[in-house]
Amino acid sequence: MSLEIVVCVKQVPASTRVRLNAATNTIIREGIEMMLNPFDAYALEAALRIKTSMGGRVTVISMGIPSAAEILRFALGLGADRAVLLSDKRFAGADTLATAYSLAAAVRKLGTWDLIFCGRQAVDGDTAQVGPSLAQKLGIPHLTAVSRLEFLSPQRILCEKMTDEGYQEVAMELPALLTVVKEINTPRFLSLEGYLETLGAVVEIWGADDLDLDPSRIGYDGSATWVMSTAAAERCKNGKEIDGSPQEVAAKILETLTQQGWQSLTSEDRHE
Amino acid sequence: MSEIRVVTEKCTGCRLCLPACPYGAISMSGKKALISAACVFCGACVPVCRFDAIELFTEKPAWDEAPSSSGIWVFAEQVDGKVKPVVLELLGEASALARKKASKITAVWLGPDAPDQLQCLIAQGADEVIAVTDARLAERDELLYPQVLARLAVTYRPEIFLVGATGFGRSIAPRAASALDTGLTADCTRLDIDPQSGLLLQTRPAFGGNLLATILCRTRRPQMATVRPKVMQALPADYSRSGNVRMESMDLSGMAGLCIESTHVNREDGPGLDNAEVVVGIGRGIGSARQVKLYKHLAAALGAGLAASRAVVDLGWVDYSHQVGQTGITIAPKVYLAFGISGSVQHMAGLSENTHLVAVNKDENAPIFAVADERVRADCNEVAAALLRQLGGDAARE
Repeated sequence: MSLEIVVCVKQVPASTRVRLNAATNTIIREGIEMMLNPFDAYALEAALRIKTSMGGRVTVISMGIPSAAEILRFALGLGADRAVLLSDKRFAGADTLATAYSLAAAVRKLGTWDLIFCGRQAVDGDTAQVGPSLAQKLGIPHLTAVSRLEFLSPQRILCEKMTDEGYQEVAMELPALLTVVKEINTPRFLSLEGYLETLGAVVEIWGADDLDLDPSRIGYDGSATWVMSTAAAERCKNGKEIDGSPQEVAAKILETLTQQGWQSLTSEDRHE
Repeated sequence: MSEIRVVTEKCTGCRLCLPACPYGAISMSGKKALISAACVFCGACVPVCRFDAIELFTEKPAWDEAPSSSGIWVFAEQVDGKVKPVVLELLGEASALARKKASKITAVWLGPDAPDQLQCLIAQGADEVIAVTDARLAERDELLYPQVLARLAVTYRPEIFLVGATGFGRSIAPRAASALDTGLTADCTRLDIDPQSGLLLQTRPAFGGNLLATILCRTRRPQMATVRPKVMQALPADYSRSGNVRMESMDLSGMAGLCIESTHVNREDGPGLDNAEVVVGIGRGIGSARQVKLYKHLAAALGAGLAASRAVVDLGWVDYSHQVGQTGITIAPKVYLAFGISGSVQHMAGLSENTHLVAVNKDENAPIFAVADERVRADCNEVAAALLRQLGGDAARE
């Protein structure tokens, strides 16, 4: 039995310098250099490795402006089999809930799926919410921050996931959705053959009308949250300059530490 | 009149729809799905069915009007039966919000029965505790917890629901919000009540901390937010406070859970980064992986935690658990000694604004100097070695 694997990817600005649409307070994504969200590269790599070891098919899916097809072609060049881009003005301005709802409709249109991979989070929004939200919309379990994955049987996996305190091992039946951290693998580079493949690669474009969904739940209007205002984050202090030899500077740092309530360790406290 | 039915000819008894229902209204009967009177026609089950076996007829979408709701909920995340510190910070913040909105504060405990912890929640600002103490909730389960939280929220209709932005909170809150079809703002660093509308103003850093966005959830309830640890202030515990503890009996048998095989806690020498009073941070400016040892010795000699910039982690000089910043952890030590850290906004997003920051860097133009309390424009390795010597250590020793 071969596995159907879906990877959700996002196109993000290559730099975190951004421009905003003042009317809607949403990001202007046109006219700036874009790239594959770095965390999604690990998700894609995890999927491609399973395809190699277990057999199966990898579909990459994204929602975004038409130029987001570029990251999908890149994924096809790396070895993905099929690429779908949800692109429609009506999807624009979606919050994580409306995004998850739209992606769920697209994943269902694919038919069957066994494993869905997402990156831990996207580096532009940093919310880490779409993965778990999508799993709920599809009615399948999810696990976040997965750092290792092995198959116990063709339909059962054992995952190691990072927690705040350490790690957990969790066994899961498929279908399941996993968000992965960079510990899981080292993504491959695009080969010359792969690059040539990207040139002619076909990305399917799906609009809202191609999907079985409620149009009132997508895009800006269908979102539960709205950005009311944005402000540049600035924090500026007029710090004190400390000059002198390394010894003098070190003595002054110790003085600062003491002023701030630090107490030097007694010999019993030391680990050595 | 809304109506929902299971087309029995199509239903295969696959059970996919059971966990999709936030109201626990679907059960199995004769290998077919059965929808009980608890159904509110939310439609969450319909798309989940792969066989189009559930048919729903509704007058209009359920979220057209803001439903009535009241109260501020705080998710009382526990680990090993103990409340996590972020919960106390959330209760402190909820108390500030409740003064502006005249709301009751409810702490929601899922986990083992722990009366002392429930009393602690009240002492820290909760007016009421709702506790679900099922053996299956002892382990923090990313599939089971959201179902329980969603069902509680449907029953009691809170207006605001705050969850700590811990690894676990960031997993279960979006799933619960998705089940409730409500909005969720991630990693808030500031909360307030809009005086006109009474809505929760949810402010969070975005784009690597370059922007602060204030976000509203206008018509759906609860208004949900995850809040970064170490940002809000806990109140001093007041055990003279009294509050009602509601032990909620909930039948979890129909709810799917994860199969957690084992849980491991990392034990490192010295204090964890989370609670260290002093943290030594290293950036690429220390020069090479060989220098890391010097800073490990320095941290040990100071009784400090060791933090790193993302660059240092990406180079493999230290592991990810040390990474502080937007994609790492947040810290709030009294003093942060930053060695060779340029001070990207992403890194600074992980450091509390209340921390006294000493920056050591030979790059005169490092951005960190703009936000530092004390600036040392010098070779960081020489300063660190001198500091270690004055503490009685020796960098060369192994």
